[in-house]
Amino acid sequence: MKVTFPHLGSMYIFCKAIAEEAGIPYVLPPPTTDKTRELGEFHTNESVCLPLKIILGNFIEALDAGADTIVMVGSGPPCRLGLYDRTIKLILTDLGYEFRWLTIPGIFSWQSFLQNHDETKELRKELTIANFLRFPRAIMIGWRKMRWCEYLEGAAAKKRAVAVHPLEVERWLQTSLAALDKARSLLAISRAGKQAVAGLVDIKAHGRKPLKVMMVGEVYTVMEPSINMNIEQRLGHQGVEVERSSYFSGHIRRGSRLDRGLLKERQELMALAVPYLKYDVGAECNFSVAETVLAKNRDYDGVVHVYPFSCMPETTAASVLSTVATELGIPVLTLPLDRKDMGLRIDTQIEAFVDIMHMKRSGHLL
Amino acid sequence: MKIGLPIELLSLEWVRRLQQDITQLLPDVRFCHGSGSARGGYQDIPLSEGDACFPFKKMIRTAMALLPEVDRLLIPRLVRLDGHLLCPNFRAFPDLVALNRDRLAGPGKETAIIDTVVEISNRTDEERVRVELIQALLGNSVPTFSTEFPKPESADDRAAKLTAKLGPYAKSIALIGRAYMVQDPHLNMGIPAILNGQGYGVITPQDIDFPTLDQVATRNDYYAKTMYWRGARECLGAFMHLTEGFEPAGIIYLLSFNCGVDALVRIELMSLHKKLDKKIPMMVLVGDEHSQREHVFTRLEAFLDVIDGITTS
Repeated sequence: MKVTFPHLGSMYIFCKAIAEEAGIPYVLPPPTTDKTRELGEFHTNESVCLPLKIILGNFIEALDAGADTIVMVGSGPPCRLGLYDRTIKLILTDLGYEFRWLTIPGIFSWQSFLQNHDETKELRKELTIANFLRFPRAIMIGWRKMRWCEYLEGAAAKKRAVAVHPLEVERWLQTSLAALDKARSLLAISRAGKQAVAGLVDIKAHGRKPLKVMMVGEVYTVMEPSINMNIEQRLGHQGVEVERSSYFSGHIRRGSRLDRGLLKERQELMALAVPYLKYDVGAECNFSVAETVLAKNRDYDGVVHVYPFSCMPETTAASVLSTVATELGIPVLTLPLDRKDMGLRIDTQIEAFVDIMHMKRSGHLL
Repeated sequence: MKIGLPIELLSLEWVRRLQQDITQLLPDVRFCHGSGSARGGYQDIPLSEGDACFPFKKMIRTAMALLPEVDRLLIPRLVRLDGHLLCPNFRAFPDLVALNRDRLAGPGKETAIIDTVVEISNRTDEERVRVELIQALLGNSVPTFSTEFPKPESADDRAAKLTAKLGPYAKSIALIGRAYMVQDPHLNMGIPAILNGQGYGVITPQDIDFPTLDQVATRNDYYAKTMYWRGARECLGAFMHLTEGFEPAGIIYLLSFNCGVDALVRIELMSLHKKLDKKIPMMVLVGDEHSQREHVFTRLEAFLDVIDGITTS
């Protein structure tokens, strides 16, 4: 058995840690490149959303590299994400690949339990008792690593905006994530994290107050830099501090329904969108609107709304945000993303967006 | 009272039954549906339409054009019909019209929008929604319901209608697509009429009763991985049902550019088509605002040539 999983920001560190600690062989898909996207595009059609194309490309590359078991986090209706596994399985089977599949349900139900039972029929035969016994520790190690990765990514987003040489932050982040990836015990993880934090202090800051934006939108697009064209970094290099609306750990905590505080927080957030959307459209649509209102309430300089071209809930959010932006007087940059060959276009849009935010802050734009 | 109900929504059988019900209960009510013109009759929508699909943009434009002409605009918030979900866009349809309405300067700004939530899985739900809708339309002066909510057409009636529809034609084409695509001549670019003109009868998913299609579509479901959109089940079920029972001379899958649901259904239909024992020519036609009848006509001619070639050989 050789397990593989899709790329989603630094989630690979979490997945790798679980596989390594539980003693399960794995194949890490090659980093997402133009080839990955092209593979996904070639085997789907023009109206399929970019995350599906990229995930499909990741899986094709991983299967070609020797993986035979795909593990993917699932979701539910009404957005297409809930059917990614069904669609990707079909495409890979039609392409002639032989593989096993396991969907980790986004929402636990009897149906998903029975599905997992069926999916793991063969896998269970290949796992030993030792693998099962090592799982709790593996998940603990993976979870701790993920929390540190997310903390460091958040810290990098702050520092990038004020660093004299922003590229130093990129080097620091890569080194820090690699150190976390290598750590094999809770103590080592904690040490790697603290060292990283100490290293960040050494990066020289210019002292000017940065612009601050909230990045909202479809979760996969918000979290995966190869899909969002590294927008967090591009904005950071223009002196903009980016607060991301989605982190993978938050989705796990919400999906498990164990963190009551987080669920209450989401309900309160949802209420902020009610003046514009009176019903839950699904996925992150209402939250994209609510987080824009929240950004205004917190006095942010702007909002960046990213989503895959043809994403049904976020297309609705984009229309609604055109009202929210005007009514609340907050600049919103809407970026539907599909092909990867548009870095320069995004740079131009970002430059104009940053100019608008600067002018607004200095009172030259009402 | 004049009630506006966008013409595009009438492609859904439940909405047609709702209109029939309201007309029976409230004889004074007059329905207006908009012109149904190519762009929906309203040129300058105040809000950005973004990259929404053409059918959705057209629905919003039709609704906007109706606002100044009617006393109330009826846009049921369609979440679930026959136990299956509709595209998420329908959930936000009334809100987008309301946000656009609020930005109007002239007439129509005061027109009320009735946006009762529609989640129907059985007859009880249907009765509940009926009461809520009538209450929303009339306030407290709700009439007593002496009649039942109109029932859907029976499978036998549909079969008889289909036989009569295909009667004049020796060959038929399965035109698979969402109800509004197949029924709106501006969205389907006149395909049914062109095919009829070329001597082909047209079978659509809406010619077959939904429970039959739903049952057939179940074969591709896997535990929690059910195809959860009603329109998708209709297309998937129709493909399987028609290729097994009717053996049409050809299949056309008609979809709208940027439709998220159809993007996935298309992959499933292409996969099913590859596995058919008897090869039936299939063509996928993607339409949007820029598609023209002439482009479609050329493609249809080529497709029918392929069918004729196969039949002759």
